[in-house]
This record gives sequence, C-alpha cells and structure tokens, in this order.
Amino acid sequence: MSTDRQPSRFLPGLGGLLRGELARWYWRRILAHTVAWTLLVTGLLWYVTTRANDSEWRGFDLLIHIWWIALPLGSIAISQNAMIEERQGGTLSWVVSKPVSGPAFILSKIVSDLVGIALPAVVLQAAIAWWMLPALDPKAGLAIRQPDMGRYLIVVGVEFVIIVLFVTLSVCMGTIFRNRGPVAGIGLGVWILLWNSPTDIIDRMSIGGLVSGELSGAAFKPLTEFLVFGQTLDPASGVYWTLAWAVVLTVVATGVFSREQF
Amino acid sequence: MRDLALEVRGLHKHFGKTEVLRDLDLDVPIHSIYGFLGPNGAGKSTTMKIVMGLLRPSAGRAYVFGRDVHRDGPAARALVGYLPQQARFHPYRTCREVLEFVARLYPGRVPRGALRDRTDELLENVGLAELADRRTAGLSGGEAQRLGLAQALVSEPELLILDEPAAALDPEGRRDVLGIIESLRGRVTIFYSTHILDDVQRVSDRVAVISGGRIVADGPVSDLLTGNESTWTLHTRGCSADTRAALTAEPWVTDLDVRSRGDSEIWSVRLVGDEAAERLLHRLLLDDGVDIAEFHTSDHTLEDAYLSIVRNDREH
Repeated sequence: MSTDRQPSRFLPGLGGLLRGELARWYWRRILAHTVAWTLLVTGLLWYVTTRANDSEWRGFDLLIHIWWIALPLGSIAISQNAMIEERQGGTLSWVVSKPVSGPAFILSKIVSDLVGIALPAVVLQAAIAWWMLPALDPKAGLAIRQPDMGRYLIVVGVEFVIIVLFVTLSVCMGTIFRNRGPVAGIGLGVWILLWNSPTDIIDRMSIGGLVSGELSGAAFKPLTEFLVFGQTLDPASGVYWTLAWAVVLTVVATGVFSREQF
Repeated sequence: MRDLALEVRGLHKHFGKTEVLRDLDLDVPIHSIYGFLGPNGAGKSTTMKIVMGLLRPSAGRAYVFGRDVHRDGPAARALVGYLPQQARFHPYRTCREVLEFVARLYPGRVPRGALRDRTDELLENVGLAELADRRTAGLSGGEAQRLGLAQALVSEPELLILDEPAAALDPEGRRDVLGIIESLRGRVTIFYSTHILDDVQRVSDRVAVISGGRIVADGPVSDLLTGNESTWTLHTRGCSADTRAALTAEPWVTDLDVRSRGDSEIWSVRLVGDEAAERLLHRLLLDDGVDIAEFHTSDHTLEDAYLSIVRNDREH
C-alpha cells in the first residue's frame, strides 16, 4: 500500500479543481466574455461620452456608474450557475467523490469566477478607459482629467471587491438553494438594496455607499470624488465590511456544502 | 485492519424513518476481487456512497486502508477509484479532458509527463480511443460507462469501487470490463456491485450478499457454491396439481419452478441436497404415476446460491 501520494492536508484538491475550473475559461469563453464586456462597458462609455455635451460630461464617474450596473449583474449571471449546474448535471457528487475537500471545491468556484469576470470586465476595461476617456474629453475639465495612477488602481480594487461580493453571494446561495431563481433573485435583491439603501448603516457596511448614486446633477459618486477630486475614500469602511461579508458568505457556503449528502 | 483494503463496522443508515443499512460489517481483503450482491434497494449503492464520503452514516465507521473515510476523507479517497452507478461528466469537457481533470485531483499519482500516455492507454483499453476528443455531452450511455471506468482507473488506485460497472454495457462492453477487472487481479483490490451473477462467478474471489440492509452471506465464491442444496431438472408428463402441491409441502424442497413445453413440463426442483431427499423425490413421483422422461441434477450456480440466500433471508 502506498502512503507517499497523499493529498495536501490544507484544502486538498484545490490546485486540481482550480486548474479544471480555469480551463473552462480558456480560450473561447474568455474571448467571448472579452468581446461582450468590451461592447458593454467600453462601447457604452464611448457611445455616451461622444454624444455628451459639456454639461453632461461625467468622465470616470460614468465608468464607475456602468461598472456598478454591469459587474453585479454579470457576476450574478455567471456565478448563479456555479453550483446549480454541477448539481443539476449530476457531476457534483462525482467531483466530491475524489480526494477533494468541500472548502477547496467552494473556493475553486469562487476564484475561477473572480478571475474569469475580473480580467475582461475590470482589468481590460480599466486599461482601455485609462487611455480613452482623456482622449474623448471635450474640454479637459476637472472631472475628466487623467487621474492619479495609484488612485485609479485603488478604484479598480474596489470594483474587484464588488465582484467578490456578488460571486461569493451567488455561490453561497447556490449551496443553499436547488434552483437558479432564488440564487439570482437574492443577488438582485441585494444589489437593489445597496443601490437604494434606506439607511446610512447599509452604506457604511457595504460597497454601495461608495459607488451608488445618480448619473446627473452636481454630485459625483464618493468613489469618483476619491479618484478625480483627490478626496479621501469615504466611507472606506464599506470596502472592509464588504470583504468581511464575502468571508462570511464563503464560510457559510463551505459549512452548508460540507453537510450536504449526495 | 492491516490486510484489509476496506473495513466497514456497524454501519447504519436511515433516511427519515426508512432504515437502509442495519449494522453492516464488511471486510474486503487486499488484492481481492469482491462481488457485492443484493436485490434492488438492498443498500449496495448506499454502502458504496458512505465509503466514498458522499453520504454520512447514521452510525458506524468505514475505513479504507485503515483511514477513516469521514475523519480523513480526502486521504482515504486518494487511494480509491470510484465508478458511480450513473456516470456523469462535465458536458463541456472531452473524454481526454475528463481523465486529465480527474488525474490532477490525485496529486503525485500520475507524473505530469506521463499524463498523456496514461490517458491514451486508458482510452484505448476501454474502447474510447477514437472518441478521445469528443465532448462527453455526445456520449451514449455505454460510452459514458466506459469513460467512467477509465476515470476510476486513471489515478492508478489501490482500491477500485465499481457500482454496477457493466449495467449499461452491451455484451462486448461487458466482456471488456471483465477483461479489465481480470487484468488488475493481484495488483488492485476491486469491490464491485452487480446483478450479473455469471460475471461474479467468473471473476470474483469473494462475495457478500446484502439483503434488507445487512450482510446475509459473506465468503469465498467457492464456499457459496458448495452449499447443501442441489437442483434437479425433470421432464415430466401427466403430473397432477396434487403432486406438485405435495412436493412443495415437503420440507426438503426449497423451490419448485414448472415450465410447460408441448404436452410435457420441465420442473426445476431445488432440494436440501442429501441423497435421501433425492431418493424420496424419485419415489414420490413414481408412486404418483408421473411419467419422467428425463431426470438429472444441475450444477449449483452462484445464481442458485444467491436466490436461495435472499429468499431464506426474506422468509426469516
């Protein structure tokens, strides 16, 4: 009997699962997503900014606004399938009969979706916008000037946190529910709640306080003010709280999944 | 525990109020080919799923090479290749990708440089070489079963657990599966369930019969075949219903099956097989004036033994 070929005691199977999940994104899927996100984010950004007059010009505020619509919806649309697809296809029990742990399975789903969404939807679009928006600036005004690179990277990080929240939420709901409806519905409900939060407490304890708001008037979103006007990131607590929620959702997902029988 | 590939102790499993396994014990010796028999719903798949960590036992323990399958699940499963009853795969992967995906879940089992050769060899062995790059969504039931066997073998497991490996296969596929099982004899422990008793008799060293959630017979195949029953076949004419009833009432007759053929009947009579019972049977039929055209004993098959065991268990 061999005893020298044992899986890692820390998250056994994570490497193989992650490689298998990421392989789904090579190359046709990631190319399709790249085209779709570019049309959606950059296309919309270009379309609106090239037709805006001086008073309607929002610069990077528009990019943050588009992201706040597209990233939650895109994350929910993609990740609501992560667990449901495996369960309904009958492959879930097959995979977990291998030397993998429940937490490794959950993490592989979360990480692969994070990578698959973040690269084409945030990293690529952020790079395009960095060059495109100043070039389209009709009057080189304050709100659309070339921002500081460091602050821009922090904004990209905040957008990544949005994906983290909605991916972990969808995967967590996928461990609890057996159908896509409740999984997607709860994700949409959370998004609407964060956008139209009835209380400051929610703003301070979630990412919504940084990125939600109207695309008109004199006020910009707090994240735009941080990026373009050099103000402090306020409420920064929203980022920490959102990451904490993501950790809680991941722990809940692994706990529920570990108790599941097949 | 040292010489056992699989050890099950006091396993209980109930779903709600339905008790599926009742104090089940099982010892599968290393390098044995162990058939697991039982009627539908007897608990075969449930036992295998508990061993694979897919179900939690209500009570009891299972060990794979001494590793507790629930406390040390991934380490135990790292030694096992498992074919579920209904093999399902990610539809977006090709057959080769399925094997590569599975191989990577068993760290160190297949060296990276040998993975391609290993998958090619397995696909060839199970007759899927030409479908290596076809997505699994397009596979027939039999092809999926063959791929299921290949993925169970890809990690070069020390214990192979197969839940009805030949169920969806045509005769050729069934022969191939038996050939693969035979080829692993002495190197891999194989624990498999099936309803095809001829296959069990052909390849198994040992069998366990499960009925009503507990093991009712367990041992080498040869021990089950040398039970104290024998089956006699009689071609008769002019036999009355009274004769049949009288025969069935005899304590030494455990089973009587009658089939009509033209104006005669073929009787298969299973007896508690001592010579006195056979003589008694003979005398009874002659006394009743039954015309016996042919009268011979048949080999005791595993099917005979299995049916007898299951029937006895149900009666008691």
